Amino acid sequence: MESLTLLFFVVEVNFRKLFKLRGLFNSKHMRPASFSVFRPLSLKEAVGVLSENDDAKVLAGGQSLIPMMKLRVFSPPKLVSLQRVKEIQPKISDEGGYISINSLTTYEDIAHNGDIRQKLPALAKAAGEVADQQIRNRGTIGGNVCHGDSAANLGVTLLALGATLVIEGVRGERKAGIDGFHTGPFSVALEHDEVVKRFEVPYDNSSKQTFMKISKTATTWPMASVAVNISVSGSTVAKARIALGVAGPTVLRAHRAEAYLEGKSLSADVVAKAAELAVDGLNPPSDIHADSEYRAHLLKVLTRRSLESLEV
Amino acid sequence: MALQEYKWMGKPLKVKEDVYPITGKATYLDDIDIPGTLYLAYVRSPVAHARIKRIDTSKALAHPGVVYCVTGEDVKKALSPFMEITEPPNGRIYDYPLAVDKVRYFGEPVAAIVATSRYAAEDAAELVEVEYEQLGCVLDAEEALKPGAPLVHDEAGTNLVWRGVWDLGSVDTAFAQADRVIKDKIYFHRYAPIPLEPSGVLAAYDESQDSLTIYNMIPMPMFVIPMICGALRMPPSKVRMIHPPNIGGSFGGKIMSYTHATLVALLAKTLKKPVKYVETRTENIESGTHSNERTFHVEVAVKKDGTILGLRAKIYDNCGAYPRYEPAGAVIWSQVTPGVYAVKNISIEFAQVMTNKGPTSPVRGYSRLQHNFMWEKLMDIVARELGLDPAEVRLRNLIKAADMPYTGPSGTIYDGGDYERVFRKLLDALEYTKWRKLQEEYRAKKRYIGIGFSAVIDSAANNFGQVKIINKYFPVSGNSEAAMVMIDQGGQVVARTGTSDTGQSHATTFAQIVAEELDMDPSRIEFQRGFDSVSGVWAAHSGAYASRSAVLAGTALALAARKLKEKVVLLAANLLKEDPANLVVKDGKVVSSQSGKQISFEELALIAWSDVLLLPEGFEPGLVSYYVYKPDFKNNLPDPKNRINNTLTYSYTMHGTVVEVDAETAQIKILKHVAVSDPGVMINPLVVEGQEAGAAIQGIEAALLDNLEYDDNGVLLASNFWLYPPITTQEAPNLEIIHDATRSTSSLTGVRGVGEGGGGPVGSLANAVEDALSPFGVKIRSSHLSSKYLYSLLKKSGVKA
Amino acid sequence: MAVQKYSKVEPEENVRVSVKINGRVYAETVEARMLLIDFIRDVAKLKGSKIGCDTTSCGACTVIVNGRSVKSCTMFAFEADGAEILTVEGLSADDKLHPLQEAFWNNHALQCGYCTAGMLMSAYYLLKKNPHPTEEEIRKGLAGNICRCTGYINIIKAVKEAASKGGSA
Repeated sequence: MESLTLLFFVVEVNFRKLFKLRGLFNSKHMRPASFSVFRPLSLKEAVGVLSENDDAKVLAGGQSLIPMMKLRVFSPPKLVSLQRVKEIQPKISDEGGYISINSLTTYEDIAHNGDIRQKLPALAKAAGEVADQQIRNRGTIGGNVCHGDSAANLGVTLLALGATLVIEGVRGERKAGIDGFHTGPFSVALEHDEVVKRFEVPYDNSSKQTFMKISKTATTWPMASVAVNISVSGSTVAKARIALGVAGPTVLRAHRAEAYLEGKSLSADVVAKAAELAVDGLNPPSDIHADSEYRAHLLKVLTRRSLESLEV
Repeated sequence: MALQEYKWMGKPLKVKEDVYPITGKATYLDDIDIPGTLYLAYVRSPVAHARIKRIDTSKALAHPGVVYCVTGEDVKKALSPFMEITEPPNGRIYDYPLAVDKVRYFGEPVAAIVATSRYAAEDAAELVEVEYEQLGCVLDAEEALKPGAPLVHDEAGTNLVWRGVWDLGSVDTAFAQADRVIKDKIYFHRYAPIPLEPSGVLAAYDESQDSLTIYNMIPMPMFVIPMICGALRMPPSKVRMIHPPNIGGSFGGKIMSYTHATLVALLAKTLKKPVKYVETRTENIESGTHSNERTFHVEVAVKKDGTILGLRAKIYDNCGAYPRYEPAGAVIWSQVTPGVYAVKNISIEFAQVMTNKGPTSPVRGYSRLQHNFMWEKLMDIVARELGLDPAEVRLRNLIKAADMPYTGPSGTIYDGGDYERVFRKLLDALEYTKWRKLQEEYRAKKRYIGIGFSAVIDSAANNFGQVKIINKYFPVSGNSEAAMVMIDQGGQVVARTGTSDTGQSHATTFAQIVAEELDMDPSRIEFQRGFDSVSGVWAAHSGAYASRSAVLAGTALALAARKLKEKVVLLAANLLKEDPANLVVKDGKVVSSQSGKQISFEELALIAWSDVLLLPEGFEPGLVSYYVYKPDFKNNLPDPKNRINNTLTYSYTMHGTVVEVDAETAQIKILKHVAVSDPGVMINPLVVEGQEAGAAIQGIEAALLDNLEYDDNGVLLASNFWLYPPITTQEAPNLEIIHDATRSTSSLTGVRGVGEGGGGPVGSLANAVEDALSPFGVKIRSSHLSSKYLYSLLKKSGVKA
Repeated sequence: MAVQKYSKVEPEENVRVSVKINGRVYAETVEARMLLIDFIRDVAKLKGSKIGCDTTSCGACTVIVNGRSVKSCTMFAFEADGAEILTVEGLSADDKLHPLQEAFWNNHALQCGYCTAGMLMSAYYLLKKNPHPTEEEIRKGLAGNICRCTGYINIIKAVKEAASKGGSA
């Protein structure tokens, strides 16, 4: 599913250029326009097809893409279905120090995986709170992150967790940190002929983490979401990563709040101050459910409550 | 209470027709396939108000699979405009299934494509080019009445649909005697009913008979026949209306789909092929039907003890771009003029106004839910102003049981019940005093609990005589429903009526009514579902709307069964050579209490239907009876003061809600919700409770989630389930539903219509949230409690996170 | 799922789709854009699953694909090629109702019935994964299915009853 909030943002910013996005309020469609589909069996085939077809769009679990195609807000003439690509089939493994998650792994797989629940509880929670059961059964981590939606639960959480993406392209494999991966509304630092193979999400025993969101109903996009990931040493914060969802054009790190927390213990005052810093200067998008100011306020409250909830 | 002296009615029997949906065998409209069917897709307006300069359909027509394309210009030639209820000037507007010359609301259909597949129809709809010249739009009812406001319908020369004045009792005297006069403004928001099955229609033309068959789900099929046939210029005898056995909900919203039915029928006739249209959800939300948006400028005259002496109100109702079923809603609120309160002196000036928003029409609680909300807000406003407990203010003003049946100031005859007892039951079940104490304790911990009440009257089985207040020449009044009960050749009892089930379990409940008359197990009675104007029974008022089925169809069935029973006894007496007075009908046979001789329905049926030479002299062959029931409303037609008993039964429900509001995030959590109702005699408590629960949750949803918000340009910002999210299992609270049932003094069976619910919890939630936030001085005057709205109120009152 | 071998990746506008629905194979060449729900309703002519929205929200089209509940309006038919699908029509074996169907009937867990097929399939999936769910887990499991009539109360009762009677079968 798409984040409406972000689309509102895009519509406001780029109204003329992206006029079709207005179709989101106005679509009379529920069946997609014609397209042709490529069904590669390997990553090599997939990136090969992509490199030869500028107008092809990658289809993973389809839970964001297909709804947009049904409303005909987006009508790619060609799809590359990753469904049969063998190297990226659902798989989660503990590699010691990080958990490796193949890009077709579903939210459901992540939410119920024992290693992830134990070592990356924020990720398990975020995955378990995506939309609804049926969408969690089909939507994938790769699709979620590559979609570049600032409201995406996993995008926010993986940012707080400092994940690494392993990417396959025609020129071979490369690795990229999640910082900087989100480049703008619905855009990520991925070449057209690249496909994300897997995610490597680091964990350490001193990490305290959680994910929180507020949404209109349980199954709609968050009005605001926050993921926090704090490494503690003794009773003080050694390292902090705080990521904010629906806070701007992309998922964002709250760098100032993170820096402020380092070396401090999480007292009520410190937490309150960190929450203030997290939203200081922030200009979140407005939509029908929350204007920018209310959203910033919610982000602040969620940041504070997330930090308060950690058992440090 | 001699309430349930029934044997088969009143039992929570398992709903036998539930088996069809749970096995996937139920047939809804879109499940009907006729080979060769073409599919229709609309092109709709992306702007609220504009002149249509040009429509180019050439690219669409060239698309593979496209058969036909139709625009407003075409329908203007082929159809007559729909009939309007109001007199001119407003009755002068021209309403067609497609916009003609101008578009008047966001999402209005401007052209339609017919193609061989749904996919192709959608493809082509994208290819139609429409050039618009945008006009200024008007979205607010009061603004629309100001001089110089853009006119929605130029022909009418005004945006006013209708204005009426009710001057009841001695209002000036009441205000002169008041200790205090309190003024305020209350707003009721716009939302949509959203049945899960969107509207749809399938029409087929039979050249050999020059007749049309329209499969549809319009819950008042014969009421809209004059609209459809008038537009098509065909006599009703040439148009067959059929409902599939299952309709996926309506909540009033499907009534307006006669515009689709007319267009699809026209195209089926033009193309001589079956044509089908099914709304998308987006189409359903933006133009399926909206509930009326209403503003109340109120003044109440009160005594220091909270007694309300009188009310003056100026009310503005925003009915959107086309009145259609309106301005019926402009008078239907007067079914509940004083709410549940004994206020005699009421002056109301009511104006219904057109704007560039989507059309409104009946929605569960139609026109009364707004009015009920006004009263329930007023109760709390009065309590707060006078420093009284809102429960106390209500108890002081409730209509007394001793005054039942109660004739209200506008001529309504409330049909019994004990409002005070029900309210006290609510206070007990809610544990009111406990929560009040907890409220204090929690506040010390900066947690904000609030308690709110609301009462709604669920007026049911309407009297169309009220439409004469709007237009005395409009040829509709009263109400009627038809029923047929027969014992077929096989001895099976079969029943039919003209009202179609949209989720109210008719087959089971109506069988219980017939069973009561014939004293036999309802499982042995076959109730035939669906509607067919050729082979079924119907009256012009037939249908499932205005909570009328249980009362009107139920009574018609009871009376038809009674008539059949007389016939059965007559035949049995003749064949058994017994005195009819000694014969008892029971368990599918007729037994003599004297001789013990008996004859079964099977034996009687064989003779009555086929061995007819054995029938007594003058006995009409067959065992079938028809009955068309027309209730007497007592005050049947409006008097010059607009007084009329505009409905037959008045069930009522009192709601109590306890909420906790997170003052920091403006999120509302329902901690407890109790509803105590008097549904009258319950045909099947399982069904009654199901309807009541559904109505209550829809009310909660209306208050918390549903809001058809438009931007300043008239663009609907909440047009699909992403932007207009329906309540899910995770937000819907558990409810406690309690019955305090008394017989209706108006209906023959003692049954009251139930299930609309009148938006019950909308009031209790608004009051509870205001109560919770009273430490901050937050005033809630809107029926919609979005967190965005609450946050703005909290911010204004200086709450700091 | 049996994976076919492709020597060269070619674009396909029409795709041969073969699925087993409720134990019976349905094979047809369809447009790549055909949604699975349309395949189920219009090709296989199984009308029990419904369409209630256009935004992957309502769940009326929920079916079980290879053991998982999915919204068949948000899956292309070609993605189901080779899959095993269970729809509401396949829930009752040999005319004997599934315990969930019995429980829905006992508890009047529907009014108009339009959401019922999807609701049952979500409940079916829930009980398969979690035979004894708490009320909270039931509410979470059914959040992707909208019912406009019941307020969910009787639906939740029904799922509890089915669970207590071994409805995960």
